[in-house]
Amino acid sequence: MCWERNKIKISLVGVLIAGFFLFFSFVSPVGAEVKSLRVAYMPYPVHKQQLKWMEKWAAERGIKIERAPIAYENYAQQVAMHLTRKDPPFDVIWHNDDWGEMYAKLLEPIDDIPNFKKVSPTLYEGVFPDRVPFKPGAYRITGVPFTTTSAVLFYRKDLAPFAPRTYDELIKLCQSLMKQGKVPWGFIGGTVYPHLWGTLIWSLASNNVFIFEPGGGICDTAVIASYGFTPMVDDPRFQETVEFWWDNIYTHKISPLEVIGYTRTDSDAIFKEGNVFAVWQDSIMYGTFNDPQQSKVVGKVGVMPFPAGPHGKKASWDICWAWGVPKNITDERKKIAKELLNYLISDEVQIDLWKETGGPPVTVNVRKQLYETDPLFREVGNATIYTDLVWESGGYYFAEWPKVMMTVGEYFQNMMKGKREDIPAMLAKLKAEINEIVEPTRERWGVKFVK
Amino acid sequence: MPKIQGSTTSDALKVNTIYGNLGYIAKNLADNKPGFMLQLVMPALIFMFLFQILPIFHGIYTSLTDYPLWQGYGTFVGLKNYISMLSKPHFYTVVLLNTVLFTIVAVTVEMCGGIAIGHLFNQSFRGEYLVRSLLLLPLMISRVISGVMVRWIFNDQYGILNVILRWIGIDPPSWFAERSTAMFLALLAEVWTWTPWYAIFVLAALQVQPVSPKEAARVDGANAWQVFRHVTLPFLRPVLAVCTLIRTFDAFAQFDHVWTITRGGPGRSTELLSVFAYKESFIYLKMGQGAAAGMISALVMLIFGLLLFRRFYRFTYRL
Amino acid sequence: MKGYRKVLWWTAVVLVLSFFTLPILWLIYSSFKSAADIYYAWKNFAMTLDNYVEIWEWLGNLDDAMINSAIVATLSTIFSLLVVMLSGYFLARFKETRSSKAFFFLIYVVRTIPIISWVIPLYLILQQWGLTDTITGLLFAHIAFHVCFFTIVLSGFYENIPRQLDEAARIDGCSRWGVFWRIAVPLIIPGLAASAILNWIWTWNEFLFALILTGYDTPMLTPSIVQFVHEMGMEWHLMAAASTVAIIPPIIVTFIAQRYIIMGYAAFAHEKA
Repeated sequence: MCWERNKIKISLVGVLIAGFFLFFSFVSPVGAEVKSLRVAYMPYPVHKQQLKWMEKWAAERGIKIERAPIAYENYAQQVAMHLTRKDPPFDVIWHNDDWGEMYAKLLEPIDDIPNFKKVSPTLYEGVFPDRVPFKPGAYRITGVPFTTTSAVLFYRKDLAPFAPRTYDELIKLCQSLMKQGKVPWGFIGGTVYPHLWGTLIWSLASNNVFIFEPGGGICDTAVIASYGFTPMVDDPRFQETVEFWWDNIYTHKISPLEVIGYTRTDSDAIFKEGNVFAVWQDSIMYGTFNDPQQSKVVGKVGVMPFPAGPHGKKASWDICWAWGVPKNITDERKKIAKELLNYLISDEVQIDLWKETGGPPVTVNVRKQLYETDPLFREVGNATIYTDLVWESGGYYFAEWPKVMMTVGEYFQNMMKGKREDIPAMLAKLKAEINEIVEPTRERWGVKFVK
Repeated sequence: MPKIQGSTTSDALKVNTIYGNLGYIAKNLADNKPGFMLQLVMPALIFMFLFQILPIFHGIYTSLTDYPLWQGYGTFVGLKNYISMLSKPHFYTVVLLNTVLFTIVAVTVEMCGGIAIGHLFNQSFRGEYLVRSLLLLPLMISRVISGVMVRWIFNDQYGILNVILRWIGIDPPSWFAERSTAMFLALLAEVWTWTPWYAIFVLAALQVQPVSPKEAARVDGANAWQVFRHVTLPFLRPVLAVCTLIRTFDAFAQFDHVWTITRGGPGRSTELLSVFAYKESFIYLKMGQGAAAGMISALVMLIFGLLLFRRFYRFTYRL
Repeated sequence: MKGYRKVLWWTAVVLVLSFFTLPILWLIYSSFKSAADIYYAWKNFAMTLDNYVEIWEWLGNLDDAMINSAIVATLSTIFSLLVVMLSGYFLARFKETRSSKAFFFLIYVVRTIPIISWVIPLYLILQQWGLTDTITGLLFAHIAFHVCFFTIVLSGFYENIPRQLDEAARIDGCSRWGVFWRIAVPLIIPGLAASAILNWIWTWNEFLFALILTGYDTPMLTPSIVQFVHEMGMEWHLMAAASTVAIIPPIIVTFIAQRYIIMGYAAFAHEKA
């Protein structure tokens, strides 16, 4: 009978389906002995340098380093997915500053590692806090900084008779160079998400203003909270900065309108080709700009801090790049991961980091040593970590921050495309919108809107 | 009758008995028509229920909560997510408008292009196989790749298209800096990908189109356009209707192209509903808000789909 | 056709084809240019294979990603075909019954709902079940998504089978399952092949599910391509190389199995081709 034979077929299908469930519900057990460390990193020069040393360290101990790239692209979702698991697949993750509040829940405090004492204190104060339940006060650090990238102005020292110190000097210099036909454009920077930092936010810093009160160099969320998360986007200094950008495009014509659509890679490529006088970038690009294989401006690149706005000081913005250790891994793994991170901020690795990538070291003694011996470090250092006003942090650490940043970016781009007269009205609207966005933050922190 | 075998002492035989009973039940079910039908449709229903319908209901619940992704649970807040989303002009003037315009323009252009290309290729010639394979390529490569490709070709400084335009002497617009041009690029990628899909359907239909009505029309003195308008187009109608409906659902839900090309930028001016929902969920980490946006887009499409269900059914079965 | 019309026709064909293929060629060409040269379209024609070496180094798990993509595509093809083989038969054979109409309505309604609406909560559900970042979880999402489209495709093939065949077999004493396995399935093998190809390529190309539901343990190819967007910019040359790797299988399949692809699409619109 047909049925009798088909019974075999049907049972085959059944077995197949059952096998399918069995096969994939199989979970590999985790042994007590740690044989490998799994490192989630972003494929980027400084991270690659760190991986090189991680592998050297691990080889001495018979441990294998397993690489797991996590791009910025879907970083938050990936981190949330993996670290909320009971058995996270990473032992060390790269630490991104845009999602601060998340880390308090998910990462292990790591400030107890020995070498951490050597790290420049300005670097982590107010940064990477572990503040459950997000109240000001005692907190612990969840990220080990291993380098900073400092926002600097790269300029063509072969073209410029002097390094521009202020907005006005920069504009005049660019205009005269463009008139002489030496460069097609004056200066540019990357603006497209997620590279908004490259332009507006850095120039805000150089005009001594920022998105939330009290402005200045303060990014500590506790301080911001004590001011009730009050946006200061309607501040005259903020308006000045926005108008500076608008004027560059329309009045002085030293930046192309396309600048609001550039990624950092785009603006780098323009600079490397020699088509622009100055570009705002991270200091770790110094190596790339001086690589004869990629760049036509080798040896002609000068580094300096931001030109200051009318209210500004000589300022720089140093963002630490850090590693973190997940909370949910086993204690043996935590111990070894912390040993590894301790090694990464040892002098040997820190010096190599500077030599290979141009990323400034984080430990005070290495900074001092390099400042005395290395002329290049002195040049970069004077432009970044040794300026009058150093903003050594990334961003604010509350959950709504990414959305605030995006909203500011959106308004910035709209203002660049609109009329100059509309800027104050747009800023007022922006203020109202930010107020609405941070309302849940205020509730969580138990603070009130001050103004 | 099922064969009752063995004694209760043997485990192996026990298994066999159970198996025999199951087989008996299955056979009995298969022998009557409703039972057989149930067996046929059960696996599909299970998968759809567990992985599409259940999530939708879970989404309705999530959209009523404040659910930070890193927290792992949500707290009930009622309709707050919907109110905060629907009370902003951004939602209407940008997100909804973009989505609707994107859908309408993409589907229309694809359909017209598809009909034209279908007609163009509707004859036998040397290299037909190769040409059709080439035409299929856009449909077969990943949406991410076509997105990356468009983004690279239109790169402001070094994209090949801008280089050519400058070489000719045209000053290229700043593609990614304006809402209209950025939207155009996303649409271009969409049209590039899906026009072949229409072309294939049209081509397949044209090749089985009976010749006689066409010739009769020509004898009556109709010109080429009139033949197309009054003979070919009505013939193509069912195919086009079915394709267009499915395309409309997909274009409305488009994520890949917009995400890889503009990422909703400049600013947030090219966000579609799906990009908006993704950003709320996985960049701002507000799952509740993201789910609420998802539910709104589901609702819009559901109403649209229900209104057109009858037509879809009739055209699918040529009733 | 002759003379100028033929020239005109060929020009049109060439224009259309170059619109659809030149961008792909440009992408492939770009993948052979070094990081320094890629920004200069007209200068530095030197080609290099370095990018292909570098994407492996850079990602560290590109081979895993390719294998995983292939596994998911293959398994999703097998399992969703097993499922829709049955439901497609149900839709075609019992077309007149109310339950079949209801089923058609159901798959239509589910198909109208945008993917993003159910994949965000699905992520939360799978996270609770411990199925995110597993091949199983991704597979389930794919199978569920494929049910709608391929049920209609396969029902298009089943409908071409004359019913007299079934009835004859029933009279000869075959059970309903017997009719299904011995009469219906062998007759739609071309349809199964067509669906399998479409299904495989779709799953291979799928981005949103892979982006949301997978992670470190199960790297997938399409999210790997966008891994080259980092905080400081984008690596165009590597993106181009990774994209080229990812489009090789679909291109091969397209050239080999073009007939089946067209057949599958045509069956979806219940078109005989």
